Amino acid sequence: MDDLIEDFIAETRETLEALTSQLVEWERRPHDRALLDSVFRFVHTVKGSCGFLSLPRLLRLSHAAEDVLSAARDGTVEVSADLVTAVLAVIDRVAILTEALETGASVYDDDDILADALRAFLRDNPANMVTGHVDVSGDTLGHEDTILPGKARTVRVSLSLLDNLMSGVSDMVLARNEVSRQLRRVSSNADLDVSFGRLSSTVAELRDAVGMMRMQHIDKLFSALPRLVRDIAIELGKEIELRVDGSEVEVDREMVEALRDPLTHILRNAADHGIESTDERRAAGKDPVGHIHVSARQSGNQIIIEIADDGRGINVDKLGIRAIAANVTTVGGWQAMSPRARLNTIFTPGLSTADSVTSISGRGVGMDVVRNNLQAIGGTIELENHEGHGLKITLRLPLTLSIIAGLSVRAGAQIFGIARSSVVEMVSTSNANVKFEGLGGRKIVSIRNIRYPFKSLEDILGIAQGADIPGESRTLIVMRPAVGANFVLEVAAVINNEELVVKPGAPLVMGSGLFAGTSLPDNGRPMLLLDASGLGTAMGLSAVNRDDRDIDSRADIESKSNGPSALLFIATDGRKQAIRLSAIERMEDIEVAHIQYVGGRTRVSADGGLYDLWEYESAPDDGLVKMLRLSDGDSSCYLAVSDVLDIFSIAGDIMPSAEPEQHEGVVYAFGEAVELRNMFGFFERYDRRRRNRGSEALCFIDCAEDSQWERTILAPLLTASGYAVSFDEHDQSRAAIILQRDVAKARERATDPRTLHLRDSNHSLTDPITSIYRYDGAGLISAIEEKLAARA
Amino acid sequence: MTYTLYLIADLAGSRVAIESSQVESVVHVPDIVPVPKCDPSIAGIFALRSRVLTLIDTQFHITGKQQLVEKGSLAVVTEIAGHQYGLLVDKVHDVVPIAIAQADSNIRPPAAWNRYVDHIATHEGELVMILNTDTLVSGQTVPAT
Repeated sequence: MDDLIEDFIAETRETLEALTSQLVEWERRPHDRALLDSVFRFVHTVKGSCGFLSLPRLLRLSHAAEDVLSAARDGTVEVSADLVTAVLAVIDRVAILTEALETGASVYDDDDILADALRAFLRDNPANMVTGHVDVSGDTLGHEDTILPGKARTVRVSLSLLDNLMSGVSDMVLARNEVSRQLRRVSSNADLDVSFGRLSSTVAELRDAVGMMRMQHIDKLFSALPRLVRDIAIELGKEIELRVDGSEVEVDREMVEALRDPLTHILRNAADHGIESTDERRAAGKDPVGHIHVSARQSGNQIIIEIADDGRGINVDKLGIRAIAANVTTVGGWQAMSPRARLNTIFTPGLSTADSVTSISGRGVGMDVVRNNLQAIGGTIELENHEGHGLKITLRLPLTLSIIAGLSVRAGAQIFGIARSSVVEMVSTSNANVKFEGLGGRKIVSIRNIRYPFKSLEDILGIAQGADIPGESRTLIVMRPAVGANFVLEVAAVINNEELVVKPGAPLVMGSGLFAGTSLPDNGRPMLLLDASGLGTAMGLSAVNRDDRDIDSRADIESKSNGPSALLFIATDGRKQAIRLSAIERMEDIEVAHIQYVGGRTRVSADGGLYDLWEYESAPDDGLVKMLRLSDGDSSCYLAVSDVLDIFSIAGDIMPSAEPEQHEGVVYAFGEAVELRNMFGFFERYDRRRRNRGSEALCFIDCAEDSQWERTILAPLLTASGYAVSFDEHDQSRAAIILQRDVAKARERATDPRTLHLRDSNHSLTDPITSIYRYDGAGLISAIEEKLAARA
Repeated sequence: MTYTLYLIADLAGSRVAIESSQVESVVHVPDIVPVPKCDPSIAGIFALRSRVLTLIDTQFHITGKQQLVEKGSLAVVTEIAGHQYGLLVDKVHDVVPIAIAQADSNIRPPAAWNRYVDHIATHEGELVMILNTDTLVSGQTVPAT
């Protein structure tokens, strides 16, 4: 019996989750038969199960709801907003009672009031009142209703079993690695190696599959949102329409839990403060109905969730007044802030722009908590404010909580892990751009003239330096903690770049605040993961006041006291060269399979587009090719390189080059003269062939329907030269150029300055009208350009 | 009289008992990775299959002296408040049934032990202290002389 009740609880909870969004939808479209049916199906199922399990309170409630909904299905009772509210109240109570069944809590029994409220709707039509007899058999439900088509079959598995499976598979992977190590040492048996290889790949597949089992549709999170918005909208008397996209995106089970609070909070803010009242919206000339759009998508190893509303946005001036009043900043400080920094003060604890505290939000505990919650799970939050027109909040989250991209570093004799997301860059202490200074006993390091507080990891953790050879170069890591200012950490060496499975540490281990957890790499030796914020705090850096002025001032340094930055790299011909950093969009490793020689050029397919690839010399059979993605702001192309060395700032003059086409000039990088590549070349060549489909350059070709030459030869030539082509009579009036071969028509159009006449013969002497030989491609294009220029 | 199963072990030279339902296993600890800047009662972390466990220097709680921990030391694996720990012990003996009611209520453990011992019981005529494992991982170490 207990098993049955447990099943009932789980099933009811699941159905309720799925039903929540439908209930709100139903309220908006009360006459939608399909929605009514699914609500009816729910109460009917609950009623049936309750009768069987003898749960009288649930039975009474669901019975009342069923009566009313059944009458609504028959059309004898009008589905009104009041009726929907009454049904929702009953369903809420069903949810509470179901939860109480599990926890054993007691729930105050005023069920009769709810049930009576429902039955009141039937009172006008007493004939419909089903009294006394409680139908448990389920025969009022049409047979066709009970079969849900196309649903993937699932089984319910307890979480602890799933976790057991997970850790079992992890054990297996470790055991496999151990066996593999031992095999390498002893075996030269090819058969054994093949069998082990098969076992090994099966284990890998199994691990992936188990990883998938932890994934859940984000719908689990989103399904509760419509109801939330509905309740707020009703309470505040606003009209709000919520649109939810991307419910099929899958996220880690734990992520769903971790996101619930922040998302609820953001949505409450949007509905309460963002969306104006109906009158205000009308006065502002907006749609009286407010819109909130929540969407989720997966991008690489990130989940991006956007919450956009079309409300009033954040009043930045008001925020400034609040911030100054709350001593977060001064008037001068506020004025010195960049717009982004101003907006980001919304994340300061205790700050809110809401005029009044409502029951829903506005107590100033809000965005700071949201940001902290997100950072705790490795996510970030960004705001895009359009004052008066709305606010868009973008949340970026790692795909899973438990696996992070990490670096393993050595300090003394011990290995530690660092999340790659908190690392800005790494440089060697022997790098010429690194200088050490002292400031009243505190060590400062300056990297490319930006000063950072600095400490070695050994000093912070109080461990021995280890047996490093004195004078050997160590590695500096510029860290960006979630809270606090950037700082530099010195470590003995960076060992590896790997995926780390994060495991929580015991409270005593985490107590120092220096560690974010533990991890077990494939070598089976546990590793402590460092917490960037905790390290910053241990260095005596203030945990607050991580501000964007930092970034601004850094940009200032770059632009004023320093020359522009450039990247030093080894070109594919083996020579050291430099390229301006501002032109580099990013560095990428591209698979050889994505490189093709098509259309007379080597091209790279990336992000669904095709880009030019420069200086790609040799083609390895497989593997990755290092590339720089260059951008001139509009278009991008790739430059293949052998290796990327370092970043330096161009100091002093740029000496002119003898080949200005190739090189902008010669500059000094780390005391060595290198060529600074000319960006112009890469884009100029691209731009020349660029297609410009402006409507002004529309060419109308006047020809017969079946004229093959115009269609197969002329049109492609024009299109390739960047003109739009039309054969449609209607486009003639707005065309910039009219092309024709017919001599008769040429006389008609003799006065139209747009006309170009094409002749079939190479000789023009006999023809009275100016014309161009139809195979004189260059002449034709220059004639078109001339005409366009004349018109302009 | 009800009997409960206890694991009898030696700890800091004394005989103690740990309720067997709390004991997952007894292991020889593999490589131990020290944890810098943490409570002195933490001897480090170690891996047991795919799990990472925290090793508690139980002796430190009693004597205030850190034990020299090396690979192969014996530890009792137990789960407390959702985290898994290894409790370092000198030696383990046997799992035996002990009835708490046998305990002599007027005998109290010495001061250094007081915090970590729930009861005193007798087993085969010898007194044993029954450990309260929760207090061993709470970290508030009593400075013993």
